[in-house]
Amino acid sequence: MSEEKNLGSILVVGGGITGLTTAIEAAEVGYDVYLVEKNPYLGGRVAQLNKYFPKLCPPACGLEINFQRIRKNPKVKYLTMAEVESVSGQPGDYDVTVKVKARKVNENCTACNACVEACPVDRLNDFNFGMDSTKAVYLPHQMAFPMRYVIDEKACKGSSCAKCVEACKYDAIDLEMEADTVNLKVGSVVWATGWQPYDASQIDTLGYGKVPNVVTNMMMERLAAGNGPTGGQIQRPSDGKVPETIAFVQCAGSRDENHLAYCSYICCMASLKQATYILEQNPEAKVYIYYIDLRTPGRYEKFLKTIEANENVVMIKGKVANITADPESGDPVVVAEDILGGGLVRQKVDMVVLATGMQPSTAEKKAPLDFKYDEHGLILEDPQAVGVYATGCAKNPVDVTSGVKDATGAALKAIQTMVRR
Amino acid sequence: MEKKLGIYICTGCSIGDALDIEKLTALAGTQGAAVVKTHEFLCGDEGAKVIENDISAEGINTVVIAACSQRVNFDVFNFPDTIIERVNLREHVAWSHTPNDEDTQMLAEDYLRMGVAKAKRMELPEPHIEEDISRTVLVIGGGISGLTAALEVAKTGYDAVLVEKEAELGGFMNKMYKVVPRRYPFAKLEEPSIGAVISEVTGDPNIKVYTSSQVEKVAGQPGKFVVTIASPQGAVETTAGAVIMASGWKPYDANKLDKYGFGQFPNVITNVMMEEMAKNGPITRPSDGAPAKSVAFIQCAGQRDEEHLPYCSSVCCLGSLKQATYVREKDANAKAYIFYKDMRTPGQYELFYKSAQDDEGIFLTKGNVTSVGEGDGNSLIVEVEDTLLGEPVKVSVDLLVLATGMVPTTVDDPVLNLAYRQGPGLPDLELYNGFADSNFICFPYESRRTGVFPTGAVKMPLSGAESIEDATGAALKAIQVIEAVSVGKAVHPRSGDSTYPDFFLQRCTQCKRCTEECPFGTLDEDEKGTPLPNPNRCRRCGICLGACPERIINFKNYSIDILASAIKAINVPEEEENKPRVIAFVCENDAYPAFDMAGINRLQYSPNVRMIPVRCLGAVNTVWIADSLAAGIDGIMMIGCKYGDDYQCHYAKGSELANYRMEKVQETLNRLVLESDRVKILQLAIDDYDKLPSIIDEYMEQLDGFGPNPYKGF
Amino acid sequence: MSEHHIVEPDLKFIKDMKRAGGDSMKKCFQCATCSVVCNLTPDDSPFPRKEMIWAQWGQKDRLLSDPDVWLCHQCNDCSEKCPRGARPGDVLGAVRNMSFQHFAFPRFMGTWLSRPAYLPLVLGIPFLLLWVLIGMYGNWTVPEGELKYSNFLSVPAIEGIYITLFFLAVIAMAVGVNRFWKSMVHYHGEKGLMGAPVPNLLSILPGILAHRRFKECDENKERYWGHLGIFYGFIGAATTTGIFTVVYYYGLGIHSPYPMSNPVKMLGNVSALALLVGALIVTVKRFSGDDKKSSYYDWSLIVLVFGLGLTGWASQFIRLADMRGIAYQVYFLHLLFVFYFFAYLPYSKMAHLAYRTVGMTFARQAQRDLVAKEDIA
Repeated sequence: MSEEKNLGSILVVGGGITGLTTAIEAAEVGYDVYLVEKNPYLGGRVAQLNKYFPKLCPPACGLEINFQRIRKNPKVKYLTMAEVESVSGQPGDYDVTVKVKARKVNENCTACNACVEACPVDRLNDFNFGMDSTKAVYLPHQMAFPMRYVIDEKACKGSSCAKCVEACKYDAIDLEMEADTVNLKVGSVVWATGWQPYDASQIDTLGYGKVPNVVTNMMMERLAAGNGPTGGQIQRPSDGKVPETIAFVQCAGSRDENHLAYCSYICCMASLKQATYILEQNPEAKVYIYYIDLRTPGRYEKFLKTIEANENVVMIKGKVANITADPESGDPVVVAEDILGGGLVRQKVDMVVLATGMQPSTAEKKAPLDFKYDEHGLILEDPQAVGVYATGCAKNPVDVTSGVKDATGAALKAIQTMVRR
Repeated sequence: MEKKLGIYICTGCSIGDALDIEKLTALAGTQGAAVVKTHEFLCGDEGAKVIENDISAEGINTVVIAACSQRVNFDVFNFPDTIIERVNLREHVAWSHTPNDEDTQMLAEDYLRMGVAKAKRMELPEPHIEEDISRTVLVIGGGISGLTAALEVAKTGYDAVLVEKEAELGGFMNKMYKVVPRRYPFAKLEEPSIGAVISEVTGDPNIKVYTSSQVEKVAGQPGKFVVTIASPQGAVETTAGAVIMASGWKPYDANKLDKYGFGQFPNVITNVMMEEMAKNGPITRPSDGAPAKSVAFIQCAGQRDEEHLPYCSSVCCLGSLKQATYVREKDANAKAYIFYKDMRTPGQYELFYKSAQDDEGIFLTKGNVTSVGEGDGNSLIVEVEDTLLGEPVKVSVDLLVLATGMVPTTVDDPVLNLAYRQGPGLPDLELYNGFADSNFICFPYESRRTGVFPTGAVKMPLSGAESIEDATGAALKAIQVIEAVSVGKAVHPRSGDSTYPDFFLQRCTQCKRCTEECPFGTLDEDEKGTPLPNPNRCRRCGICLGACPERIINFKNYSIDILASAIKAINVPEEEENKPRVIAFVCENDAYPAFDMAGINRLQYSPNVRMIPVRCLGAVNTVWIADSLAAGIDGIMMIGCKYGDDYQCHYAKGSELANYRMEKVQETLNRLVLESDRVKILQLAIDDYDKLPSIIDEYMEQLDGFGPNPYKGF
Repeated sequence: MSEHHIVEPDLKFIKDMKRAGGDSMKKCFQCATCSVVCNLTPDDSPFPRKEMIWAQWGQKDRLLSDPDVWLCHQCNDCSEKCPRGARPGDVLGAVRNMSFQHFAFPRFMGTWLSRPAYLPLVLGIPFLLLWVLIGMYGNWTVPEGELKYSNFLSVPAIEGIYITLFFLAVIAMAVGVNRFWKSMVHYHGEKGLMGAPVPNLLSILPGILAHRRFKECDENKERYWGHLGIFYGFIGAATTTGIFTVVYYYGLGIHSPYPMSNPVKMLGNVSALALLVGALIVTVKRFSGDDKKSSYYDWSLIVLVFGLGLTGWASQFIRLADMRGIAYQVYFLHLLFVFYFFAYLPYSKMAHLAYRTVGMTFARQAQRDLVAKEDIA
């Protein structure tokens, strides 16, 4: 197959691990792909993870390979800070409108950091769930791809300040940059907009936002990550104390029809993994995992066995349904029924990790396509549908491996649309 | 190709502030370049134009760009048909070392010399393209995974050959009475739809089906596999471009589960037997044919049990919920008990659990079954401890179903029957409990046999719906490898690479190191032991190059000579100057980006280290170590990926082999009365960049203790 | 570890439970959220998680002899928080309803009151009985002069029936409650019991009178007022009836109708008001709750309370307004409701006044109820 032959283009929406996979796998068969990502960087949720379970390897490693594949493959074209506004047409021939937000930093950016040194304004760092801050001009994270800075429009004081413009030797900062609209013609569309952590403050019994030192599992990923707010040192947000006792609350919002009726698949493994973060830094720490069912399917079982064997990890069957602050110390107190032990447990711990689940991004914003959704916003894919596909956590909460497999299949489906023509 | 060299030095991003550019330019002038230019913003439009113009106007065809990391501006510095070597003066020099320091300057100069030396010896790759690439995919196994893979291949316009051992297609799905719901709202059991899939496959003109047949031999390489099929009509030979291995699973041998009375009591059956019974009619007691009014299910009958299967079979909870549901559907007065360790219905299957349990005749509890015995009149007594009812219980049932687990067919059968020098099956399956799984979370289709993609339950325990997803992806990967080899390009992880190893066989001593060590079984052997390359199997990792003691394996742009000359290009100061020199061979996939990150974070480390990126630590030939030490280099660091069971090496064995080889090197060093720790192998993950300064400092300190390389100056 | 207990789920019991208000019980997946959010459970072997699996497994005897079921005041904090919609509060309510059926004496009466299918029978019997009685001792035609209900049916006739019914109910109730107590003792065993029934009963009475447990609820706080109204409404009505019957009619020989200014009469009217207001609160709550479910037992009681109060009041006002045309018909209805009240007291939800008292007494004896701060202190 020669490089020149135009086989047709595929639009992939979402630049997380599934979207990246669909895009790259299709491009490596020889198709042109447009990858549209909302964030200023590719990699999505996995870019925020410290380690993958069960290998405890860094997600950046696989992302790096995928970015290499993009670097070497001109067939993958990506748009960051971009969202698809509309799709019209039919299989094989879609017109797509993409709105690209103003990054205010153009391709001249060399990532030299001079602008950051000049910027006087701070903003909360959403990449680290607000646990630290960056300047109004910032690199989304240290391993960001593309390696290009971005200006937070809301935080930036604009041309009245323009200190960054002066600092930049390369004319890379354009405070007047406007949002742009890009029109694409594609043959098929793959929706891979993934998930968001379920908003823990919705779970009124678990004290998130009210009781100090109750964090979510995604916050724990950032706390443990070397490029996180604490440089990888796991500390309590309230006072920086190294936690000696940590409770994990499984099914925080998942398997719960008041929140997410489905199981979020990954949270059991994620908590077991996070137990290793804690014990690696502090082998004497005590970790308590409160669960309904421990779900470590397939070969993940081996990981469960390994963690269970650590005497500082205690598994308690019984869901935590109440977290309050200890009136004296302010430490969180978790309450659960130890079902196999036979009584209610009220345990004071240094820190609580809520194993919150995955909510599809389509819960908040539906795709401009005629997908059907379940009550949680998961896309109900019609197996007979042609031309438009959904993949990954947009349609079912899954782990990375399953998401990547599904994404690879979605690439084939997208290609088949073109073959039919 | 007559080389015409251009050297371009960028002075932006603090490079110009940290280095004496004049001196550097002067040095570049001595390197035989036709053009030497500096630019303050080389990656800008203007800068890139400068290079472009020189290429078109001056005939420059070899470009050394001394600027930032090769990992950025890859699109800017992309000039077709031009040899490009990037020298990283930014992340690895200006950003990580003291500016305007003598040592920093020396580092930059060395890097420039090394880059030029490499560029001078590099050649443009010419892809190896085989004739007559087959666009047919061989699918082994006609269960739901294999059928799906074959169909998807055909739907994409390629041909498939499907080989099924049994007389009928459909595998276990064909034996199903009902299937677990696959779609929202996941409430009602579904009729198996495998029949429709089978007729679609048998009706597809692009799919050739062989039933009652087995793959006897797979020889050749991707794009050109020669497959021998043992069919009822005799041996059939066919070609294939790729192989999808969907040979599925078999039930765990229930005879080993005598603790649950299997084999002892006729009314103890397995979940597979239950499915067949339900398909054929009413649910009865095998002992006397009486209707089974009460049925108990024991979950994890063998699974999650070190004595039997250490893993979880993923689908048995769903299976028993399904079977309990139809026990009740068939007889409204029947009772079904399920004893589980953990109810595992991940993702949206939770909704099925929710709907299945909402049945007055289904009784669920966590518990450990401690004994199974006989009760009155053909009944069985099941005793269960640690239940949720607050006390041990026993139930009297007519039928006991053991929810036994999946065992991959690969556990005792190579399935593929590859005619490869390294053996007929996939290597290292013991790492995955016998499953033909990938070791990579983000690359689940990776296998150590290029062009061979395990899928479905042979890869990991999967439900029917998950198998369909997996098989669809496998079909893409099979098609992808065919397309890649048809243009002579590598597949993952060096996708698109059109280099390949050249073997100068006249000098081969038949030591077999390369044929044994290639992680992908690329090389076969003739009877004397001379390697027979199969370029389409090759992943271009260069581990063979690292293995070869005769140094006869080389790539156009990555060879013994290219790197040796880079080593020679390092200026080794006299002993008296007290400037030790260390070479760090770094894996370009993980360690190199980690050094970039260190630079981005402005982490500072010793300027006495010279980094040489390598395709993989396994692609480091020991001759480079010898050359380095002979050249007076004081120490050598080898920084690569983690090895062992949870290896992170993208070529599976590269870093492990490097470690093994370095042990040998260290032995040699000891014989030469050189401190063996002068050669240090380190495992580093991509996100360990923050540890780099201390790693290097510690090593430099250790080296300081050894004193200078005694061979310096010889 | 105790001996293995042979478990034979009682499918019929499960079906009955579902009908008695526990239709969501099979949805429970044993996460124990309910036990945690319950403000009334003891820490040791908390409820209602364990009751939920017993219910799912059709463990009839165990549930019906479980005093914890009576500690539950159905505030439904658990039902609101239940991640599965299993509504443990309602399930425990169903267990209580099942107790009225199971311990009933005679047993068939329990069945009659358990579902609407028997309603024609349940209403038909008193209807016919009253009809025949009026045929024999009463008169449907309203005579000239002051409108008096004693002209419709003479007081001795009414007293004859209702006093008999009252004593029958007391006997039936006593037998049922005795069965219940024995069953609790049997399952619990003698071990760990503290004190004797009467002192324990006396010690819990203040809590009952103050409705202390209702105050522990987080969700459903209005029920405190609803139940309080009905509770004291009945006590007031019973007191009124008792004083009129014993002191006025038989003691002082003063016959009805009594003037509105009579303090006892006033007590009766206030009680009726309390009943109606209480019933109204409870009803409104039932309709406004998002997914609140009510069983046949609940509705029977609500209809009864409304019926008693409304027909009682109506009879009084009809008499005062001299609305002769409908007076006897309405009074007949009132008599019917009163009949229902007495005759079915041991089998309807009304029976909980005895069962709950006894269950809570046992719970005190078994030291299961020491949760509320007042109790511990």
